[in-house]
Amino acid sequence: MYIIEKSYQTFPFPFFVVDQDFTIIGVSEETQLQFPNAMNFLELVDLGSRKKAERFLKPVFEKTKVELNLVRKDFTLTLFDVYTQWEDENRLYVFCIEKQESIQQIQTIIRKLETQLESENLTLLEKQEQFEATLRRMEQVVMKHDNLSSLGKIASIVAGDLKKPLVSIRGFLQLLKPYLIETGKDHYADIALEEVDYANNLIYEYVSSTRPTPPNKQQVNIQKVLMDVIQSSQKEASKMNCEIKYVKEQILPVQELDPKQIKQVVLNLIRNAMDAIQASPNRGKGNIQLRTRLNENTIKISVKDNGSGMEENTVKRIFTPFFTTKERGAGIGLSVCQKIVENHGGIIEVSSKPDDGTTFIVVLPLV
Amino acid sequence: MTDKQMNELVSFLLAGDENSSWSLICNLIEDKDSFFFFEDILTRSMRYIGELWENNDISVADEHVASNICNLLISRYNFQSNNETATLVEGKPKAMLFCIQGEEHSIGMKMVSSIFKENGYDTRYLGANLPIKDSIIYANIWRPDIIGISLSIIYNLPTLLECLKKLNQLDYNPEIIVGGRITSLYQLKSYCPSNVVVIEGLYHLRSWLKENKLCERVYVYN
Repeated sequence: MYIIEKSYQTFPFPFFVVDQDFTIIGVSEETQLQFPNAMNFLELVDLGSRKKAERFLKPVFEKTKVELNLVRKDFTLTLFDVYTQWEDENRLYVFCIEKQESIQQIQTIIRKLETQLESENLTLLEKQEQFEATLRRMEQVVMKHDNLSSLGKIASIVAGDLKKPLVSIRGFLQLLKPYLIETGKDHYADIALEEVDYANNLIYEYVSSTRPTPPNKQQVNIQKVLMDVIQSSQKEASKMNCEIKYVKEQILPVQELDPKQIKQVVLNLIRNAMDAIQASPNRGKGNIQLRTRLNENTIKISVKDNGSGMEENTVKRIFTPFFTTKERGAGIGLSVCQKIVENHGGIIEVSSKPDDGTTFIVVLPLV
Repeated sequence: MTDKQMNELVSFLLAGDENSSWSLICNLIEDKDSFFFFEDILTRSMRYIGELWENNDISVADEHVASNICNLLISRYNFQSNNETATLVEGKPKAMLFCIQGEEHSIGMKMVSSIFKENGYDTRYLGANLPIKDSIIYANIWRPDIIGISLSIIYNLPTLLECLKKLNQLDYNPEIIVGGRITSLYQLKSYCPSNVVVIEGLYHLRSWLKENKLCERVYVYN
């Protein structure tokens, strides 16, 4: 392809178009600045380099690079890297890059490439970070699933194994009861039966809480659900001098959800709040505040306490199954809460700072 | 020196390997004189390196590496043969040597300088690219018997002629000799004033030194 005159004129270095006798057909502006007027390219080549020039500018070399001393306007000899390229039999392009200058030019190009590479590198690093974050999240998800499902298995096995002896204990206790009445100690049997029922209940709760079933949705008034939960925790709370308040701000529409499961979530959050208060200087003047907020598409339920709060690291891992900071905790509660909320198509979030209390927010979609 | 030996030496020079070059040369010059070392070994090798450049096989940078090694080899040679040459004697003839203004090729003159020393001259080598003005000043003050000027590139010929003109205006008549690669390419004699001697190569220099009566004086001292 012919290099058109307009484009080569602005080349930032001496450039010549010559014919097969090296007669100059065209030059770049830089050529006119550096070199005297000449008819033939060889006139500009140092006598000592001329033979070399003639030899290597021949068309046998389609493309080549030679060092040549060229004579400039001020008659100084300057060493050039001369690159030649034959377009066809009658047309040779001659690019002259001054030796030292060529180093500078190459350095500029290298520098440009380096900065390009650097920015590329940066974006790559960013991407890598993003990918790593995604990977971590995926790992968390996978781990959660793994933990939950294996826990579920273990729990159901344990529950199944425990149920059998509990049933027989219960049967024998009932058989024993009439004999105890005779001795006036029948209330022992009642206590024992109650305890067995409690144990059975625990097992049931455990199995059902570790493996939340798909929500059994009904038309429910959330405010009523919350009031129920507060009421059932009131007794325990007053023992700890802890006030639980529901701040009613709006009237909420009836909502489609599983009341048992949502109760479990809120109850869990309140229990955690009470534990946090017990572990803080606010022990004895605890305060747990529930709020609901109706947005365009969502209902927000928040549970705020004035307890001990959590470190950032704890906050990060709070929903991980089996993660716990409590001496006797199993690390199940919140992971199950999360699962339930997710099953309802919602999210659960937490914000907390050490000594500044904790706020859990459950966001449920409006259905 | 066989072609094979020369090729070997050239590859050492281009690789910047002074020690290998030197040990190779030591084997070659055992019973030979300086002219053999300078002309038949170094000059021949450097000419061949010039041809390599002409053939686009090496770059100017490679050439510079080789000529630097060459310079070191000359110094090493001079250092070794120094002990054998005559020590300073009062009244020695004086030779002032330099490359013309603008001329950077100085290896040849360095060889000439050591040949003059070897032949008992009080020699001052003023190096490459000596401005004309300074050469005249130096000649006026030091008053050498011989002034040697080296020239390799034809473009410096006008400068040489100007310099010769100024030297002819000195208030005494030193012997003026001109040499360098240029003499092998052009008939320099036709450009120069008649009193100027053109020396074509080191063997020519040797015969000129023998004929020159200044030289005879030196031989008497030796």
